[in-house]
Amino acid sequence: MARSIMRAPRSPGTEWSREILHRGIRLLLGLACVGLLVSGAAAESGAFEVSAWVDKTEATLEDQIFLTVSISGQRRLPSDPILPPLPDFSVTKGGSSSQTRIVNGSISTSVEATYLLAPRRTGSFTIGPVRIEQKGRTHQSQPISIKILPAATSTEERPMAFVTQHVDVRDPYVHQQIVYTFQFLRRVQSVEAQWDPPSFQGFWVEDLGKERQFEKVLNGQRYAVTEIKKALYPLSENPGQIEETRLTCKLVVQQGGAQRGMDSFFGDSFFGSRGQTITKNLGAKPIPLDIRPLPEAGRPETFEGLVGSFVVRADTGQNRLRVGDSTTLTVTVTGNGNLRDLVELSPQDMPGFKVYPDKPSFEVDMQGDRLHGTKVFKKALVPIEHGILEIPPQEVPYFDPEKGSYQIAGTAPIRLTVEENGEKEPLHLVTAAALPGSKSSIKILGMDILPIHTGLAGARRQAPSGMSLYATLASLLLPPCIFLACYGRKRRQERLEIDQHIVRRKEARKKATRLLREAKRRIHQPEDKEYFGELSRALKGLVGDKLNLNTLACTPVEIERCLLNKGMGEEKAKGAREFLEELEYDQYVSTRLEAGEREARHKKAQKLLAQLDKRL
Amino acid sequence: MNEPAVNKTMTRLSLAWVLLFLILWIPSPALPNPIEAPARTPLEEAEPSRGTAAREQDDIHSLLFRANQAYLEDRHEEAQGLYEMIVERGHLNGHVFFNLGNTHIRLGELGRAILNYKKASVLLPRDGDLKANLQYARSLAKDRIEEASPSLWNTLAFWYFGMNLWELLIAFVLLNLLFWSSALFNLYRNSEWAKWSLWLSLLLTLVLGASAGIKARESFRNAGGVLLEDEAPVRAGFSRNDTTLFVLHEGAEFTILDEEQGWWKIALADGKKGWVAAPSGGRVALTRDHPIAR
Repeated sequence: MARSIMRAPRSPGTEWSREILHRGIRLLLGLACVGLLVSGAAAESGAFEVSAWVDKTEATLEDQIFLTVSISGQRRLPSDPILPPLPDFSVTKGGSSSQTRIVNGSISTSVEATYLLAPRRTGSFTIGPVRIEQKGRTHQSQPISIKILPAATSTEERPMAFVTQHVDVRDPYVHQQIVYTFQFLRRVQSVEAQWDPPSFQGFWVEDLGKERQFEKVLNGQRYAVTEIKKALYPLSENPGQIEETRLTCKLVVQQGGAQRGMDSFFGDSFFGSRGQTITKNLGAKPIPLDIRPLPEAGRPETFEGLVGSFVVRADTGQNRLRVGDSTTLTVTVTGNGNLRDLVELSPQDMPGFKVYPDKPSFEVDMQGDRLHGTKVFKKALVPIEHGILEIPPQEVPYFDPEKGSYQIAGTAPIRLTVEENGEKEPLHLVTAAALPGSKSSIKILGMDILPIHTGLAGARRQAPSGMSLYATLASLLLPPCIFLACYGRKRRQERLEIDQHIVRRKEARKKATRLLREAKRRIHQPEDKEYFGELSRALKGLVGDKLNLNTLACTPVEIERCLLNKGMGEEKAKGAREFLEELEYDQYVSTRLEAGEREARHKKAQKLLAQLDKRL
Repeated sequence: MNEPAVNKTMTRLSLAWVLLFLILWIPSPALPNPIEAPARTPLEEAEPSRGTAAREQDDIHSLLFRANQAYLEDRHEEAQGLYEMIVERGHLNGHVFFNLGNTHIRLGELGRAILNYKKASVLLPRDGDLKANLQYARSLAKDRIEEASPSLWNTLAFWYFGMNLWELLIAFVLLNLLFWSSALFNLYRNSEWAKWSLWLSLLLTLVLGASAGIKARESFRNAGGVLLEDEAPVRAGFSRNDTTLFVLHEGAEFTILDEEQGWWKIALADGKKGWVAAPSGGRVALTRDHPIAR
C-alpha cells in the first residue's frame, strides 16, 4: 500500500513574510561581519594624534598658564603623555577627561590632560613637543612659544593682588632673633589661597602668633591684608637668603562695563553683579641676608650661644634654716632671644649645699612683634653645714646684638643663715611648704625600692595546689550531690502520695503477713473455720495489691488466670489455685481439722506468700 | 516557670555540675601534682615521725627567715639562693616573689627583678608596695615601650583584676554553696524572691567560676615574658641567620605568642613582633622552674 503525505497548502502571505524575515537576518549578519572587518582594519591601521595648546601665549609672572594635551586615536590610548622638561615653570597636574565616539562603525577615542604652569622668570620660552610612546613608536605634538612679562610693580600699576615678604634685620648675627613678615594684599575677594612658604633651611623657626587680618590703603586704594609673622634664628652664616615665596589663589573679579550687550542685562544690579574667577600665582622675591658670625673677642668661657637681651632673677623660699632642711632656689631668666638654648646656669657648684636640680620649665609669649621667653630653673638646696652660707651669683652670659658686645646678666649673692640641727635627724628628701596658702608640690629627690616583706604571710601558700585544690573541688561537688539526694527523696514522697498502686504494692507483703499473724492466733481453735478464710484473704489480698486488682472476691481459678497473665509458671499458678481451693474446702465443706493440719496450712500459706511476693 | 519545671532544670543542672567536675577531676599537667612527693629535706630526715606537711611548713619558715635575715644584712646573693630554694619547693607566695624581686634589684639584675615582681603581682594583685617597686624597676629599663592604657574592662571586671586565683576560688566555692542552698530552699518553699535569689546566685557563680578558670590559666600558663639578658636581638624568624628586626634590653616586657625550636615569637605592647631566643628571657607563669641566676 503506497503511503502518501498530505501537506496543507501554504498561503501566499505566509511565504512572503518568511522570505522577508530570512533576508533581514542575512542582511544583519552581513553588516555585522563587514563592521567587524572594517573596525579591525581600522584598528590595525589607526594612528595617534597628539596636540597641545595653551590658554595664553603671553603672560606675566603672576599669571598661570593652562596647558592642554590631547591624544586621539582609534585604539586604546596611553594614559599619560610625557611632558618636555620645563625648568622655567612650576608644573601642577590638573584633571583629565576621555571621550569615545562611534561614527559609521568607526570607533575613535580621545583623552585630554590639563597642566597648570606657573612661570618662574621672565623671557621667551618654548614648551617642547609633548610625546607619547606606544609599542616603540613615538608620537609628538608641535612646540609652543610663550612670552613671560614681569609683574606690574609700580604704585601706579598696583595689581589686584600681590604678596610681599620682608625681615626686620638684614644683617643679623648668628642666633639673633629676626622677625619675618609675609603679607598677602588684595583689592578683590580671593578664594582657595594656598601659600607655599620658603623652606627656611638653616633657620630655627617659631610662629609669632596666628595670622592677622587687617586693611591697608596704598596709593589711594584699600587692600585687605593677611599677615603671617615668624621668628627666625639663623643657625649659621650659610643660609645667605630667604628663598622666594609663592601664593596661589583665585580672585573673584566683577565684570565691568566694557562687555555689554546681552550680558549687560543680566549684569545689572537687579539680578546682582556677576563675578569671574581668575587664578593667580603670586610671588615675592627672595630676601638676601648678611648673617654675621659672633665675635671671638670678649667671649666669656661659659657662653652657651645666647643672643639677645636677658634679665636674671633669683629667689629662695627661706633665708633661715637648719642643717638638713631644704629650700628651693628659683632662678628666672627672661628676655628676647634664643632662650630655649640655655641649658644650665653657672656656677653649678654651691659649697656647703647638696644640690638637687629640677627639670627647667620654659614658656614663650609675645611682646610687641617679638618672642619673649621665660626659663625657670629650680634647685632644691639642702645645707650640710651650719653658719652663714652664700649662694653665689647666678649668671647668664649672652651676646647683645644692639650693643655688639658680650654681656653677663646675673644676680646678687644670696646669704642663708643655717643653724645646727640638734636632733641629728637624717636628711629630709622632700620640702614641705610651711606657710598655709603657699603650698608647693612635693619634689621627688630620689627613688628607691620599698623594703622586703618580712611578715609571716610569706610562709602561707597562696596558689592552690595539692590536697587544698582537691578539697576545693570536692566542696564544689558536694552541694549538688546533697541537692540531688534531697530532690530524689522529695520526688519519691510525692510519687507515693500520688500513686495508690505503688502504695498497695509496697504495703502488700506487710499487709498479708499481718493477716497471717492474726490467723495464727486462731490456729488452736479447731471449730473456728474463719481461720482458713483469713489465710485465703491474705493470699488473695497479696495478689490483688501486687497487681492492683480487687481479688478478694475472685475464685481460685480467676486467681490462677491472673498469675498466668503476669507470667508465673503454670506449676506455681496451679499450686496456688489448688491451695486456695483447699482453703475454701476447709472453710466451707470439711467438718473439723486437727491443730497439726491447721498449722500445716499456715506454713504452706506462708511459703506461698513468699513465693508470690517474690514472683510478683 | 512553674515549680516542677524549675526543679527539673535544677536536677539537670546539678547532674551537669557533677559531670563537669568529674571531668575536671583529672589533674591538669599545669597544676602542681599533689601526688608528686617532694625530695626529702634534712629536717624530714631528722624527724621522720612528724607529718610531711608540718615538716615542710617548718622548713619554709626556716628558709624564709634565713633569706630575710640575709637580705637585711646585705648578703643579697645568699638571700637570692634561699628565696629561690623556697620557690623550687613549690611554695608559691607573692611575698617571696616580691622579696626575690627586691634582691635582684640590689644585685643589679633588672630583668629578673621585673620578672619576679610580675610573678608576685599575679598572687598579690592589690599590693601597693609591689606596684611601687615594679614601677621603679620599669623606670630603670632601657627600652621605652608604650603600654596600652587600662581599658574599661579593667574597671568592669574589678574582681578579676583585684583578686588572685586562691581568692577567686574561695569566692566561687562560697557562691556555689549559696546557689545550691537557694536551690534547696526553692525545692521546699515556693516564693518569688527565692527564685530571684536562685537565678542571681547562679549568674554570680557562673561569672566567678569562669573568672577563676581564666585566672588559673593566666597564673600557671601566663604568656608574659621579660628579657633577662643585657640585650638580645629580635629576629624575623627562629634562626640566628634571620634578619635582626630590633634589639631589646634587659627588663623589656613582652607577650609570648608561640614557641619553636627554642625560640619565642614575641609581641611588644606597641605591636612590634619578632623571634627571640628563649634562654634570653623568663616566663611570668607561676612554676617551680626558675631561671638560673647569673
